[in-house]
Amino acid sequence: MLHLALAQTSFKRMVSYRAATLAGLVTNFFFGAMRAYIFIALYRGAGKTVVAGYSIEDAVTYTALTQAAIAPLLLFGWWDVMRTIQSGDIASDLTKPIDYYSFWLARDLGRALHDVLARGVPILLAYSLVFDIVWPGSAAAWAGFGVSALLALLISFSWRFVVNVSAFWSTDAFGLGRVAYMSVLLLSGFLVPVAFFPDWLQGLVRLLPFPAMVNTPIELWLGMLTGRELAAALLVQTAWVVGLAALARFAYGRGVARLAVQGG
Amino acid sequence: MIDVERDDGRSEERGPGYQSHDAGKVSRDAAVSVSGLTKTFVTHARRPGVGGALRDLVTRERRLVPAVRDVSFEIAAGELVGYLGPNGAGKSTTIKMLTGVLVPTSGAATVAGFVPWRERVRYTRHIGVVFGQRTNLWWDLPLSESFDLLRHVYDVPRDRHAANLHRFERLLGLDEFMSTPVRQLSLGQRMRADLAASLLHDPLVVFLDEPTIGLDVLAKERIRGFVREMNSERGVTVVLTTHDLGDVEKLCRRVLMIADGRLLFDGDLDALHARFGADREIVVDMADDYPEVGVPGASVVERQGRRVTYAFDRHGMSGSDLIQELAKRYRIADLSVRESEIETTVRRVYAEMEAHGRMEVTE
Amino acid sequence: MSGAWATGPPATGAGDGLESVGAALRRAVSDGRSGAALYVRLAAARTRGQMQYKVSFVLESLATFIGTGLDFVTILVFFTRFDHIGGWTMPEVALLYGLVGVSFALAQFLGAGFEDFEEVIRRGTFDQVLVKPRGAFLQVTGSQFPLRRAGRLLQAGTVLALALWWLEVEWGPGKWAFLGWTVLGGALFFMGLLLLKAAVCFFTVQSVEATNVLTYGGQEMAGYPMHIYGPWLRRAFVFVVPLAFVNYFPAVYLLGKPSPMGDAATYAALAFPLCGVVLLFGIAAWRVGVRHYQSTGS
Repeated sequence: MLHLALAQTSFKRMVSYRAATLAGLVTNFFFGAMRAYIFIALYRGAGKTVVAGYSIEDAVTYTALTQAAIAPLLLFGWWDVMRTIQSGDIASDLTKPIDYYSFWLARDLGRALHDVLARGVPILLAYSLVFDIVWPGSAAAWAGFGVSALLALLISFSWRFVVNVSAFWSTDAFGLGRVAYMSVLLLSGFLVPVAFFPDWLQGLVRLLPFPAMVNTPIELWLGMLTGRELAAALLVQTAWVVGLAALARFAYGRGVARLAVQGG
Repeated sequence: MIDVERDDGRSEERGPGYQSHDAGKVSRDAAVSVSGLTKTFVTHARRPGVGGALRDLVTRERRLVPAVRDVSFEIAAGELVGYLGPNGAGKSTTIKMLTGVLVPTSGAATVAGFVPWRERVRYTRHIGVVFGQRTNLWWDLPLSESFDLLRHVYDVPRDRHAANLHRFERLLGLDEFMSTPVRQLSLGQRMRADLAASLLHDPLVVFLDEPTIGLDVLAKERIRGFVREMNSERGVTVVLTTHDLGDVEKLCRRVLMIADGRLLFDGDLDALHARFGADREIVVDMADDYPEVGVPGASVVERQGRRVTYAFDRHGMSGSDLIQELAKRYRIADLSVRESEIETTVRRVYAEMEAHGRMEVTE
Repeated sequence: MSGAWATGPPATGAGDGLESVGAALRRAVSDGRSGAALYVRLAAARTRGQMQYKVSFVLESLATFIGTGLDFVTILVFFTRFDHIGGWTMPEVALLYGLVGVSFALAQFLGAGFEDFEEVIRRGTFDQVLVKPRGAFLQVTGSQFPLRRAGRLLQAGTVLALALWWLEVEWGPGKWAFLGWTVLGGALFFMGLLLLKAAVCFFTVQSVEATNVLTYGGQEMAGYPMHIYGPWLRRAFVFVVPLAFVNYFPAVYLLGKPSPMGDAATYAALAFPLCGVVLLFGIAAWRVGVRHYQSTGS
């Protein structure tokens, strides 16, 4: 099947970049350790054991998981499609009888699988050696996390896809994209857990799809969402998966149509 | 003339192209003087697989790749020399050493009186370099600004620079696109601009690396005309690296040929053709399957089914004569005559060298 | 024909003692002046090039402003939940953040060519640098003049200014001068790191990302008072990579904070020289890299 093959090729390609993977691992771990230390210092300095519902271990685990998520979710930006559009290469892609969105999705999933195994897992393990980490408490919690993480990945892909296809309309798509990706670092809960935000900001941020990308799966892992809350969170994520995918496909369709008229 | 003892005891008189193999004997009269130049690269083999990758971290397999082997030649001031050879022969490596980019493993070279890799900053003031695939100009600036910046980079007196630029603008037709950003120029335009840029500072020696690659016939002619004029009028020594036989035939009287890191030939272009087959090839599509397809005056180079490629010496037999001979013997469906590539000539040179163990050149 | 051989073969044989030293010095000064002049020209040309795309420039500056501002927003969020970090109040932490931010922004401005050097190696365009009659260092420095980095500079500068205002600082000219030295020293420090990053590119392009740990990681870490980190990190930032000297010790000295890591006055005085050492180290690494390139090709 084509999509499976695409995913596999993508996976294998990533495997060949050994040195880059290692370098990325070291970088991610280091930054994560730094952020963990900052949390520890904050808590100890204030003499608090729980802040905004997070214990020290929760906070440290949070940094571990966000760092582990950098590579799989490409949190610092993904530009492949934008580059294809801006260089004009997309013209040749359009002549191929394949659904563009699912083509790239398949490749992204292959790559993500590699990054989870080669970057995500090792970072978590390294963390567990150095810090006190919280692990999911039950099989149900693991399962919940797994589903949530997959949904988060799908949301992330659609979001990145939307950012990329903005290049159909704007020559400054790169600048806009950078603003978008950077803003999402804050709004998704990557830099700080959403629970830490002042209440008024939390309300606003939770209206956006970004916490569903990062914050939600992590809260599931930490066991902060159970029962009905868990189900609700997963539902919200699913809604965003569908909604963003629809937006991505719609935007792409309009972009291509525009391209056909404008000539690129 | 320099007397050289050959291995088999016979001594022969040779032209200035040959030199004894004592490294360090560089002549100061020549514009380019190269002696025993050698460059060996050290590469590391990558072992496959994950286990291999881990072992790679501990020790790595060293592999020595000789790119240039003991190359010697001299180019007098004002010469226009072609430097030929197949890909991977060591052409660009040699040029890199002569332009101060690369340091040789052993051997000596002097260009315009400088040792290129030792005094890079002072030396490069006096040379011009054009890379066929890449540009020396600033990508996002208008061409005129690039020229102006280069004036400051090379420290050229204003009036000299202006005079040169004015001349080149006319000769190369640059005024049409002087205010266009370099990234918007077509390949031909960019080439002309790069060529002009390489000469604005009155260099003594110019190294042109594939200056006509990818250009259409008209553009090639224009470039060749300009190079010829610079060489004849200003006496700029030109070292032209190229795959294009047309460049060589139209511009160079002297040719250096390198293959597999070694200098195989150094001499007149005519001598090259005369010696190694002023080759032409005819590709014939036979109308029938003939068991034998020989013909006097030509040799069969290749045969694929009904398509036979013949090679013949143009000095020995004319193309039309050969066709007549073929027509006498066979029924022909179609045929075409083609010029032989420099690759083929080099292959023949190499084959000859292997067959005879040495090079024989009559001049 | 141009007087081609007028500047021809260089004189061989050694110069005579003092005369040659004087000549060398004069040449160094004139080289330096001509180098600086060329840099200004290149920067002006780059500026003109970028100004062609005013909208892009504004957007990219905005992107940088926001992106760098996010680090500070993170700190602000922390301060909604915690009163102090390691005993430092928010204005004090803002001072730390502002100092290192401005230093890093300055270094990025001047050293952008080195930060993006990876691309030069990947494309194989370093040869074009080597065939021009100018030092490689000067050419790479002049290859970029990224106006959009002004966003970061502006953002960090704003935080610094706000911090100083909030702290109601009343220092004499001595302390203001010291502040200036601190920022400059920090810029030298990060410039040295950027040079190191570029030098690494000559040897391997795949692992270059790891050097971001030193630059971006360093900048982020130095935004918090250094004594909050574990003992190993603290020692590393004092004795291995002198990050603690970029802004922490100077700030401790300026604010008169308690200094659990060492005598504030002494360490603050060492700050500038140590940052200079990092720069020299970076320059040395760069030269090793260039020599390596010249002996191995690409």
